[in-house]
Amino acid sequence: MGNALQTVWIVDDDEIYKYGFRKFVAMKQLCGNVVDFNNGRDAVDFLADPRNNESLPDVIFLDIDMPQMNGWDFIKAFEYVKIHLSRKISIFMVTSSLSYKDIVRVKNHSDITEYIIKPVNSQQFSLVFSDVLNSQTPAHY
Amino acid sequence: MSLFESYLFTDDTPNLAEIINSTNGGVWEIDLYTRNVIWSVGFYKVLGYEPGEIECSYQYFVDHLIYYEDKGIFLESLNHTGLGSLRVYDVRLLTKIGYQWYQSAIQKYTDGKLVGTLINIHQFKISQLQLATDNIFVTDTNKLIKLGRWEIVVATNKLVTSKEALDIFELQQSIYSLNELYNLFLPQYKSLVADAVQICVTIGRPFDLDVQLKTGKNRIVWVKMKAVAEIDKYGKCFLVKGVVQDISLSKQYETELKSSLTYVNEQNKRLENFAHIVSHNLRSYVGNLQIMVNLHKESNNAEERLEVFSHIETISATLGTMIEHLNEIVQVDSEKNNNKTVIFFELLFRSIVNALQSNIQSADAIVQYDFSQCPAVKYLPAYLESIFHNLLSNAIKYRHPDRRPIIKCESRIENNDIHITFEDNGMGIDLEKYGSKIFGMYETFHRKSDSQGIGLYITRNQIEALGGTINVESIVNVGTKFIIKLASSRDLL
Repeated sequence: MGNALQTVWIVDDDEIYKYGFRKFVAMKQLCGNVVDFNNGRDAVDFLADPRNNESLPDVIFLDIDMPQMNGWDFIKAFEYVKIHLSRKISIFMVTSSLSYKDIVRVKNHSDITEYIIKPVNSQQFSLVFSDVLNSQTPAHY
Repeated sequence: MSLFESYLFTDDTPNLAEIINSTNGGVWEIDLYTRNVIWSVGFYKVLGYEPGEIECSYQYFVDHLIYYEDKGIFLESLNHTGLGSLRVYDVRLLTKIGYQWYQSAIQKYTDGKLVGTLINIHQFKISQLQLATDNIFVTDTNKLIKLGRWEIVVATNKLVTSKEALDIFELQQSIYSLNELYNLFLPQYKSLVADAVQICVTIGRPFDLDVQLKTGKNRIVWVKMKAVAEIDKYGKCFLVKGVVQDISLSKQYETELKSSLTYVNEQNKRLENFAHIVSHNLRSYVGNLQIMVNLHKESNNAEERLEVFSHIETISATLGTMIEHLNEIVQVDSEKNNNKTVIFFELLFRSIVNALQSNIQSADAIVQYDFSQCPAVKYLPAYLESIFHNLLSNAIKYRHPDRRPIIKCESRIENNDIHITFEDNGMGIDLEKYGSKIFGMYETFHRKSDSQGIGLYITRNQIEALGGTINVESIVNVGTKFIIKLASSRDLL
């Protein structure tokens, strides 16, 4: 795909948001492969399975409020899983929560790249995608 | 220098005279037949006069020196002191600076003659009177603040209680053993007090405990037990000095304050929840709407635009429902002051069952009820209807897929409160995971398409707005039980 990310995950229980995200990514040709999960549990299970080591994402867009396993529980599980992963994954917390507590928690967590507040506009998304691409570039050389 | 009127004492007793004068006292003598009196120099001095300054006569003494109220006791002593016996009495005499208290000891040493001493006891008498007044004051104060004293004499292990303490214990007779004291306290406080006393005795640590006891009249009261150790010069405790105070009233206020604090906290939580839905849920829907509108604008494909538009329609419908919910929630608070009417549980429940008949039939559910223990309640009809409707439709909605649903509703009176229980054998809720959220807004625990997560939130509001509570017990795959307390039956029957 050249100037685009290979695989992006959305972990979110909001179907309409996921639909919009897919449409947007397709329209802007930002990424070839968008995979979505309804909750943190399904995503962690996928990551923890060594057979999936070839299909890991570059970026995860993670919602905080979800059934089964919410965003913070996912991060906790991710800390255990990540050592077995074959590549570095950037995690973006995407939420409509304006909670100051959540924002501070994100800032202090090394596994989370950034905090994005819903609704996300197209400029923000484009920025995030290009940021991730840039940070990955050195690794390709 | 002559210390005495020369005719009272002979020359061979100057030493005695000197001694008597130096005690700051006076000596006097009276002849009962002639009423002749003799006063020593000290007699004048002790009254604040110089010898000869006042007339030395029985008449003058009775008319001018002695306070009129004290004449009686003086004359009585004069006339009734037997030969050889000693009498002591207190009188007020006029000095140069006003009346003061004096004590006189008189003795009849020959027939018809009395000899007496006179000393100033004014300071002593005043202190004594002051002390008596103070004692009355302390006793009154103790009564007023419901304070009693008690002591434990360590050597004998015996208890001493003041009358006020016994009044607080509502006991007719004193108690002397520590066990009798400990047995007054409710079981959960008994060892607390006993241990505190023990530690006070062994290492001298003071204590201050708020405990409950059962009085002699079988009343349960809150008391403050406070004590310090009195130690001897070796540092050992020989006396535990304590007070007991009836603090039932302040405890009652404290409890009332606590319960209103809980209420305020609950209300705060509800408000927070309300703010959450507005900030979080509305925001996310509006956000989605913006995304869709943008997609619609940017898309060139007619088919895609149609698809996006259908999403816009869904979002706008959801937004409409959400606004309706918000309205409902606000209504709960505004309607809570409407008139309550007597509602018969059975009538209401049957009408709800009727309304949900098609759901009940399609789920093949067995719905049972028993309102015999408490058939009616005074409540807001709209609230109770909504509570029953929500809980019954929830029970049907979250039935267990593998068995026939059985739903039971019962009412009863417990501790003066009306309780309603709602029990099902459905899917159950993982309370460890969701316990704190179950009555929150837009919380659903089951991946079901028609879960909206608003029902229990409104149910809770409708119960709490009228001072009740709702609690839940549940086991996953076994069932769920809601227990509703509708404030006290006094207000509701």
